[in-house]
Formats: sequence, C-alpha cells, structure tokens
Amino acid sequence: MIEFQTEIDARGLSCPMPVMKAKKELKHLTTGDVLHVIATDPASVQDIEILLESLEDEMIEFSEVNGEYHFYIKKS
Amino acid sequence: MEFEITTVVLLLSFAVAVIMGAVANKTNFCTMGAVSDWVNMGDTGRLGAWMLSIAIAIAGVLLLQFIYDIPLDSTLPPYLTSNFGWLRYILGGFLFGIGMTLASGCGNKTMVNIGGGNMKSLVVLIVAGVFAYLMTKTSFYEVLFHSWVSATTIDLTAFDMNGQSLDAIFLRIFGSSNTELFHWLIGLLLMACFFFIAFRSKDLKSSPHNIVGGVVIGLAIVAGWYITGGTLGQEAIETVAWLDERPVGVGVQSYTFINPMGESITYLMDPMNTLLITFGVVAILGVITGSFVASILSKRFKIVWFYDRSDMVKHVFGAALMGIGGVLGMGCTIGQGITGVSTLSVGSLLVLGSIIFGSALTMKIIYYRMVYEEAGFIESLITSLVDLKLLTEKLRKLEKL
Repeated sequence: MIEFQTEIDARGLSCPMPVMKAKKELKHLTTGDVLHVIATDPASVQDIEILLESLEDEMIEFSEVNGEYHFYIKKS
Repeated sequence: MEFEITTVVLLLSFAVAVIMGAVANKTNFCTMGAVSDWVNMGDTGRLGAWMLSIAIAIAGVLLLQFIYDIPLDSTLPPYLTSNFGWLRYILGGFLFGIGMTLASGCGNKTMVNIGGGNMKSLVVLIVAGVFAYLMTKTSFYEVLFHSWVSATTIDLTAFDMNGQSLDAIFLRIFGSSNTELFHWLIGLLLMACFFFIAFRSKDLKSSPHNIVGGVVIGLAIVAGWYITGGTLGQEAIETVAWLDERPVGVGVQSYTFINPMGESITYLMDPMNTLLITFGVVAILGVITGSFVASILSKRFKIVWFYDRSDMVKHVFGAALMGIGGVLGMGCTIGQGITGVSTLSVGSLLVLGSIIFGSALTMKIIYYRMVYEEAGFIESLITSLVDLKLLTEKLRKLEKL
C-alpha cells in the first residue's frame, strides 16, 4: 500500500474534470508528496499521463481495480 | 439482392461511420479533449490531430472537385450560402463550445462514448436531439432567433459574390475573374496552413495514434463527400427527384452530428417510415456501432451513469446548448469544424474559432472557480478573458494559474 498525502475522488466525473482536479491538487503539494487519484472515466488515463508529462511529475503506481483507476502521483 | 441507389448511399455512409467510430474510440480522437489538453496542459497532440484532419479533408475535397466536379454550392447544410449569417455563426459556435465542455464531448465524441457504454452521453444525445428538433421543426427558432439572425445576415450577392467561400472573397478583393485559379490557390494555401499548424506540434509528431486518428477522420469526411457527391451520389439525387414519395435529406453532404440528432428524433417518432432515415441518422448509428465494437474488442466497454445530481444537471444543460448552438451555427466541431471548412467556407472557419473559444473560456472559468473557491463568476470570467489575451493584464482579478 502506497502512502499518500492527499486523495481526489473523481469517480463518476467525466473528461476534463478528473484531470482538472488533479492539476489543481498537484499545485498545492510540495516536492515528494504523493497524490492518490481515483477515477472511473477511461479518458482520465490518457489525460493524466499527458498532465504528468507537462508538469514533469511522476506516476509511481497505476492500477485498475473493478473498473476504478488508481493513480499514485509523486510531486517533483 | 438489389438495393435501391439511395439505400446503397446510406449503407456506404454507415460503413464509413463505423470506421470513424472505431478509430475515434481507439485513438481517443476528441475535439473537446483537444481543447482541454491545450488549455489545461499545454499539450497540442489532439489539437494537432484535429487540424490534420481538416488539412486532409481540404486536400480530399479539392481532389474530388477536380475529378467529379462535386457541386459544393448546393450542399446539406448550405455551407457556401450567399446569406452570410456572421452573428449566428459566432453565437452558435460559442454556445456549442460551452455546451460540449459541460456535456463531456462534442457530437462525435458523444456517439463514441455511447458505444463505450456511457449512459450520460445517451442522455446528452437525447437532450441535444430534442433541442435540435425544436430548432429545426418547431417555431422555437422562429420566435427566439429568426428576427435578429435575418437582420444581421449579409446578402453577399449585393457585393457581386455568389457564395461565402474564402476564394470568392479574395476574388472580389483582387477583382480577378479567374475563379478556377483562385479556388485552387486559396484551397491549397488553407490546406498548407492547417498542415503547418498540425505538424508544428511536437506532441502530434511524437504520437502515432493521434496522427492515425487525424488521418482517418479526415479521410472519412472526404469519403462522405465522395459517396454523396460523386457519381453514385449524383445518380441518387437525380433518381430521388423523379420519385413521388421522396426520402428526406438526400443531397451532397458529409459527416455532421447535431442536426442529425434532431433527424433521429424525427425518425424515432415514426419509425416505420423509412423515408426518414437520412445520411445523418445512419452516421449517428454507424459511429455508435463502430465505437461499441472497438470497446468490446478492447474489453473497455463499461456502463457509466451520472455521479450525482449536479453532474446530471451540468450534462443536460450542456446538451441543450449543443442542440441550440449546433443548429444555430449550422454544425459542430466535425460538421462545421472539418466538413464545412473543407468547402473553404468562411462561416465554417468562424464557427470553428468560436467553438474553440467557447470551450477554452468555459474550461478556464471552471478551473479558476475550482482553485479559488471564493471567486465569483464575473472575476473568473474576466481573468479567463485576460488569460486568453482578450482583455488587458491590468484587469486581471485572480492570480494567474
């Protein structure tokens, strides 16, 4: 189980809301903090990948459990 | 078994739409997503794919005109009409841009989402379809829009122009009589501009699936023009002209999704009447089918419903704006944004710009209100307009994000 400082529950939200919520939260974190995002929109997988490329933050783990996507993102 | 020629046109249109839906699903081609990636993350991969599809559609239409002499001055809808309703294009596009952002996708993406099991998008389709129906089949448009639309529409024939194509305007400016030369010159120039914008994006160049998405969607638009305006399509139009009972919506056209949502509602009200099955209706069915097959094959089919009441309200409101804006602007991100632009219509370019502006502005406002929870709508709107460089920096109300 990865430890995280903040969690966003974006289940049920559609593009572009999950990525916008993740972007907002990442702004408030400090280097080394981990953000856990839970989403159900399949588009969020690609959206969050693109977001991390642009912010240069790191995805330390990604999994899909029962149709829910779990992103663990480390603030760089 | 022999099919009537109009049925052949519909079957071929359906087949192309299936490919469109499957590829859009697999490559995540999404015009609203394109604006979102650009505004929210500075990534232009999907925007580049959209621009690439426009460039390919322009190239294809130029080629089709050269080979088949497709009559673009009598299309459905009339992209090159000499009645230049500049205000309806701007307002329609703007409303559609807001709507598609709130409803999580443009017309095409709504169909792709439905094929993937997204029931929110099914609600969007029904609501947008009802509003498109109201706009086209009832007095709704007459009461709310007709007076000011007709008052602001410019009759281009008064300026010795027989249509609103970009080349006609340049021809008028330069006073030349060589229409053929100007058409090719402006067409090739516009195509080159869109290719340049597309491939200026490093994100597009490094993303094969975005390139595939853009190429296939652009080719699908060309295929639509070929099916309805080539030899087969022209023959179908001539055949229908002699019929006592004519199928509706037969004409030179390519893919668009908002007016067809209204046509689908019309058809569903009288499902036994096959004369109501239009190019647009089969386009909608085709994209949903293609996306459904792609979702099943990739094991990504998933039933999705509204998260809560506010999620539903947001989607329904967005869908209503899509239906109204899509009819007012005479098309969506595909219908005007690719199909219309491929005819070199100035109105289509206006709608394209207005849709992108409406969507980008909505995303910025949502984001500012999300970050600054105490911020009001007006503060967020003004700050967003400053971000989009439409207002001076001095007017900024909220710190830049």
